[in-house]
Amino acid sequence: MRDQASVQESRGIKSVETAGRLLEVLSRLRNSVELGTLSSAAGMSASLAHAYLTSFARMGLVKQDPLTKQYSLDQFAIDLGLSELRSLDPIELALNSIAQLRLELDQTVALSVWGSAGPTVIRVLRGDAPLHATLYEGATLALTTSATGRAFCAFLPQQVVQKALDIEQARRGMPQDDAFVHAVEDAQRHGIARISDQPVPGLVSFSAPVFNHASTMVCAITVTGRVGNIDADWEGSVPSALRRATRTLSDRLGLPNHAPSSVEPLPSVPS
Amino acid sequence: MSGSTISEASDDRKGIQSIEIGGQLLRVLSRHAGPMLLRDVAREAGMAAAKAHPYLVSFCKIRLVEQDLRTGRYQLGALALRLGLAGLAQSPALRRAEEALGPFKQKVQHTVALAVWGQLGPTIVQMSAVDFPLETNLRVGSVMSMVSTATGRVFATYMQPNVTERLLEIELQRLALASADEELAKASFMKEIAEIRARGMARAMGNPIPGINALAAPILNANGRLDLVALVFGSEENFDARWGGSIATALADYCSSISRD
Repeated sequence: MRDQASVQESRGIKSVETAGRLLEVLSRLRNSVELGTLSSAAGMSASLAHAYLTSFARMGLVKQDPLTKQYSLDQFAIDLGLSELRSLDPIELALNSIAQLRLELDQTVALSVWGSAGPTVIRVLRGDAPLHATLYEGATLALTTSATGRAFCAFLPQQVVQKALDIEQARRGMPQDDAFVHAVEDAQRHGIARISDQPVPGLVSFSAPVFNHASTMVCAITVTGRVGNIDADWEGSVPSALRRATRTLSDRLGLPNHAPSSVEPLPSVPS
Repeated sequence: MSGSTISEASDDRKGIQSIEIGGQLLRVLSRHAGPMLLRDVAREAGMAAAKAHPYLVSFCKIRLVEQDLRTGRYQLGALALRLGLAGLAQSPALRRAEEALGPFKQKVQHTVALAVWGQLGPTIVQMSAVDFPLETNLRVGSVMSMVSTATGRVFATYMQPNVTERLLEIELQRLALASADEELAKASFMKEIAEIRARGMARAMGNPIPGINALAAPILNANGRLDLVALVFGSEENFDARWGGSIATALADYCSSISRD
């Protein structure tokens, strides 16, 4: 139980890994808890958990209420999180994710953020076949007729997207579009947006939102390929891989382990 | 963080010494914005690199730390973020403030944010915008100056002095060096603090962020201690920064409703 640094040079410190089990439990807490609850959730004896908690308390990671004897997180835990919030770079992490997805799927993968004029492509990694003339870095994508645009409409607050949506629909002179409303509803139901044969015939695209710790959408990852090449089914291999990748990324950004809560009702199409 | 833990006589067990040693490495990483080399983390924690390395390997396994595979540098990881978010979520005042933030934003029609005290100073933990993209680079995780921002000055006014004095001293020193008259610079800051206390609110107009106005006010607990700070900001063209204006009134109402609950 003592400092084992010298013994376990290459394998790490066993007590740190034991501590990790307790910290994992503590990181899921929203209220203070008793020793027994912590130790059983971490799968260790109460006396072992107590020894660790004693050290955590000295480090300022946890504090114990003198009256109730319950443990809660203390300032050092908050400092660790604030430090990580400050240096966390969602775009940097998303760039890693799209690189992995491209390797995994061998399709064109793009990363987009919400810009002043709507969905803006900031990175495209091309798959095997050159295609999709509208997908290039710096492109502003259509809200109604691109998978990426639909993802932003489905998962950003309405207030954010409405102005761009009004402008786009006025320009197209098509104020009412049931297909778009249904597409947004589908995207919200499936957690991922889809479009096929639009804006380019013969292409199918899926786009999934990435959320941060405040359940706010920070970017969209989009996979595009030929209709015969990508299964357009909601549960096909491409949307499944895309969901996995965006969930892992959202998890890394601190998204609470439940459905995004900030999703407001879908944008209304002005009639 | 040193070995002077003997005074804490209430501890009836010795704890796990190796965890506390490793904790020093976490503290070093938490104070740096960017990823660090092994030798730098070790040096700042006052231990040999060969001793620090197995700790970092284990911290990586539990995702408290991450290593960038290209550069080999270490930084805090996913578990660090989750621990901090969980710690923040245990604050009842922050939870109430977050719940009421949406309606408050709708009322003022500008970007609203919440800041808490962190080891590097006032830190934004929640932000809600009426429009994207924002007109500033302020984001969640941003650390605000104690002397030059409205938010920071509210912390300087209401936070217990023993908590803020070290950071405030450093910043005031910098402010004094940058101004022609050191004493005058410090005196005018102190005057400003007194005014904030009298008004219960701080204001920034076009400074430190050109073109941006901000109002910030304290959310106090039942004992009159500062829990967090709420701020509203927006482009000076359409931001009513008057003390008795609609934004100032809504901000005061928001803060007192959360303090009261």
